[in-house]
Amino acid sequence: MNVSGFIEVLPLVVYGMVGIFIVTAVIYAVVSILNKIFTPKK
Amino acid sequence: MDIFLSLFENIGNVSWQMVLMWVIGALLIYLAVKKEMEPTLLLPMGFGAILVNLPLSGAITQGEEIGPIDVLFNAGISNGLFPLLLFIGIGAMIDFTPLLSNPKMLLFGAAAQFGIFFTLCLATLCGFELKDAASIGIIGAADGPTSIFVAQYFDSNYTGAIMVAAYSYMALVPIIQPPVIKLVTTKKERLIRMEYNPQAVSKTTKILFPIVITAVAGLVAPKSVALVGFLMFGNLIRECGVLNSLSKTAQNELANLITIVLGLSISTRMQADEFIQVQTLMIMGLGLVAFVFDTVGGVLFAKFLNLFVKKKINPMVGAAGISAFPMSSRVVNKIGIEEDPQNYLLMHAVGTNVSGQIASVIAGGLIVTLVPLFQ
Repeated sequence: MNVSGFIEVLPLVVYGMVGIFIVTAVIYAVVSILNKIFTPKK
Repeated sequence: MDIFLSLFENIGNVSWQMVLMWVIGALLIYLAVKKEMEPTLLLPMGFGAILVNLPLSGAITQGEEIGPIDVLFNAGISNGLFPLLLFIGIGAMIDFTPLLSNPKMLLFGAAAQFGIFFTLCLATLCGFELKDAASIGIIGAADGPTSIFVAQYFDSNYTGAIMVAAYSYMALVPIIQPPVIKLVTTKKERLIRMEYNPQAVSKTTKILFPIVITAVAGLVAPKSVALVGFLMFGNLIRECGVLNSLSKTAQNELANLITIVLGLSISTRMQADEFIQVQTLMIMGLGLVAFVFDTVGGVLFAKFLNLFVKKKINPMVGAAGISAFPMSSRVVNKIGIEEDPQNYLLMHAVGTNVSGQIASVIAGGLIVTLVPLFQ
């Protein structure tokens, strides 16, 4: 059991999840804007 | 007579480890053919496992003699080329419309990558080096090419086992996910109905989407550009409307050709001395943990959002945020119908499922960006 290694990499979970949420949130915002600007022709 | 007997000398080189690998190879072929579990990859990998574990096999490099499987491996896997080319085909196959019409589903895809990072930590606790732990964690991406790309990026010692785990568990999503979903949701939550009012999506948005995603992902995690970019290039070919022939080629011929050589090439990492070790069993266990915690992450995130929104979300939809498409969305829809025959969650789940495909690739890019900072 590598407990010290485990504790050292724990922040990676936070950075990783925060990173994914930031990227997806930006994509969400951009897609919402694109949907508002480019409405499909009826 | 001596010459005749020398023809059979090689039989003496057979070891029990090789025989065990033949059994594993046969099992993979059985699962592919009889159970139709990811046959496009498990069958070539199963045959390859037998091919490379014949004593003094000419398929792999023996001393000065270069083997064709090693040539393929060096040409397309050790440099990440084959998974990336496969991504062009996958990108051309994906219709992102359900996601574009309801972009908030992207957040569920992000939440359902939790298993990757959780498993990375757990693998470190189990004694794996960080580069191997990261490669094991990425099994939770539920995305074969991403797993291969990351494992090769870190030059993991366990690529063969990681591939077997990744593709096996993707095929087992209909068995893994239902009990986990039921464990972390109440019956009342599973009965939540969700209105489906899709917003129409313009062609311009569909064309701009892959370009924007590549730019955003590339700016935040530059090392993800190859992964995200190739996937989105395939999607751009599909959506642009003027490259139908290329789109069909990417979806069929390109994807099929790469899949054939990918499975065989990976098998060079399934040689008995490398594959038969306790760590392989640990990787199979950790891979399962990754899939379970992906599911838990997606469901719990939906439950968390329900604390703040008026129109409640069926938390099961969050479970479809893993990249295994379309199995995961089918699983969620099936459980929904079991609970209430009038509750159709499929389109919500499909939106989440395709968002998981994007999020898993972004997760792969973040892993290759972040892990070197911790080494």
